[in-house]
Amino acid sequence: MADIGVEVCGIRLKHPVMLASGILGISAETMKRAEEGGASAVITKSFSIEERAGHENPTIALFKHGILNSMGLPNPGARAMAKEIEKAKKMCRVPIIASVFGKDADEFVKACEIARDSGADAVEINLSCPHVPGTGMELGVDPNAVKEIVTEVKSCIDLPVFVKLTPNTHALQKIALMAVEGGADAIVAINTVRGMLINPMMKKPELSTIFGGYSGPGILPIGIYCVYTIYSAVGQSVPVIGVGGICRGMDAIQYFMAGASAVQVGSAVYYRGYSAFSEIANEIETFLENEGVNSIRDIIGIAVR
Amino acid sequence: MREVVEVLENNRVAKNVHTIRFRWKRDARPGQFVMVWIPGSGEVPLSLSYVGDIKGITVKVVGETTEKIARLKTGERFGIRGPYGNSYSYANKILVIAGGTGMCSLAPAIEMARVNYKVAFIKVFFGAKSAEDLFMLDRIEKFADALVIATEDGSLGKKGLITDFALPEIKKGFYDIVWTCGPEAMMIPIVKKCLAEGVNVEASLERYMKCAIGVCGSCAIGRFLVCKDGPVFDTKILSEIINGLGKVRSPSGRLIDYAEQS
Repeated sequence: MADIGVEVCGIRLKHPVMLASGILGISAETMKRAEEGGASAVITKSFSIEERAGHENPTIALFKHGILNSMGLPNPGARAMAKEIEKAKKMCRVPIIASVFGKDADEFVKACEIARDSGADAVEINLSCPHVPGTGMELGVDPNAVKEIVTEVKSCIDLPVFVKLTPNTHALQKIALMAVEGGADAIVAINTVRGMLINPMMKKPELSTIFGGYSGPGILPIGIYCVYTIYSAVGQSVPVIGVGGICRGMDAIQYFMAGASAVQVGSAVYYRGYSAFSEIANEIETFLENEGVNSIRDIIGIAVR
Repeated sequence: MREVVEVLENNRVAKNVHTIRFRWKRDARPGQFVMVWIPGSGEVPLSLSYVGDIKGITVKVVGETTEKIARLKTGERFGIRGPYGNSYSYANKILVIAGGTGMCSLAPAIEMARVNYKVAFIKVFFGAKSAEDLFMLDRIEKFADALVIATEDGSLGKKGLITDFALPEIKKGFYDIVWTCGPEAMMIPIVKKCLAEGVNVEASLERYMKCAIGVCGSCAIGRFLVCKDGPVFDTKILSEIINGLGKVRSPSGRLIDYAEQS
């Protein structure tokens, strides 16, 4: 039997397939649903100190190779999300990881403190949302801002801190190194890729915000590359968590071989339904068994060493 | 990529309520909904009120986007994606309880129950504030065995809330299923009565939506997503979520009272 259990920052996971932020994680009940679908950990929707309505519809556009979205980080605010996390901690057995964002280090810290007090097992700081001005990737493409925010958060809370990075930069290695310097316990890559679709018949962009973030099968090679490049830079010091375009076990396997210690899955919920997590985990296990591999640990970074 | 369709006709069917017909070669079932896009204005979920080759949506003006949809002229285009969600279940004797624009999703189901499923008996209760808010009465009379109308001001049919007249009809033993769609304040007592009497019930729920494809969570009620698991919920799910009805999520995801939503 292949061992598909993993440990990330001291958090034991029965398998490496977590729910990515932004999907389902709006309430304790929907987090529970992700757990029932097999997710080994749940990352909440990103939340900020203050409530945010997000962008006007249309906030989603579907096409052959994936999904374009500009949800705009809608969330009911940190206090309301804290209640959901408290409830989720009672309802779910899997770790609950709070995704937070803000416009500066101070806001990140405040949101993280509320997340900690709610009982979250870790925080994931969103330095990568590509469609909200003043936060997300606008901060996450600035290595100094990344270091400052991570340093501040680490100095105020003692939970594991995951830092989720954007692929929309030429300086990914530098940014990842600065996050590690700031004390990041894990790097998560990637968030959505900036993109745009136009409806030819209406002669208008498909999203109200003109551009948005691209997820789904089409971004798989971008994510694998980013994990490889981050792993090459920081792989010995902190785990890398791969996310982007994973729909099948074989997609996740590629992430491990590029250097990921675990993965997150989001858009696959649309393509495969809520049981995507357990199906992908089973496919990973089958591959390892067929290849005579005992543990995921044995293939991490194997293709790029 | 959204599909783009052309308006064949736009008819005012009630006060601030318009039916837009368009040719759209997608298989659809009564109860399902579409996301209608007006560039520069917005995108909203709307039930299909006609499901044949020439589809229809029936829209009440409640905001900017629905107003633009209601004003579409023949030959004008709009964007559409879907159809999404599930549909009603058919049974031999059906009780239908509709409130206002709740009839949009029920009318094609009534038609299909008679024409395709050839069910034995369909009785329809249709309520609204006033006579000018009622629509599709000819269509319902054509396909249903009985139609009871109630208006709050008594301007047509019986005077009062539709639940005053429909609730006593819900008793174990006669109807095989109750379908309801309308304001949640109307549906809650109906669902509760059905659950208490042990009568099968299906309620079509409406929630603010962003993705409509089961990922974003904007329309979550308990562990269910209206866009993916609904919009029509059966007895089993309704018994689980009954205490969560009457609350909806604002665009931020915060739970607010149904009446508070804009």
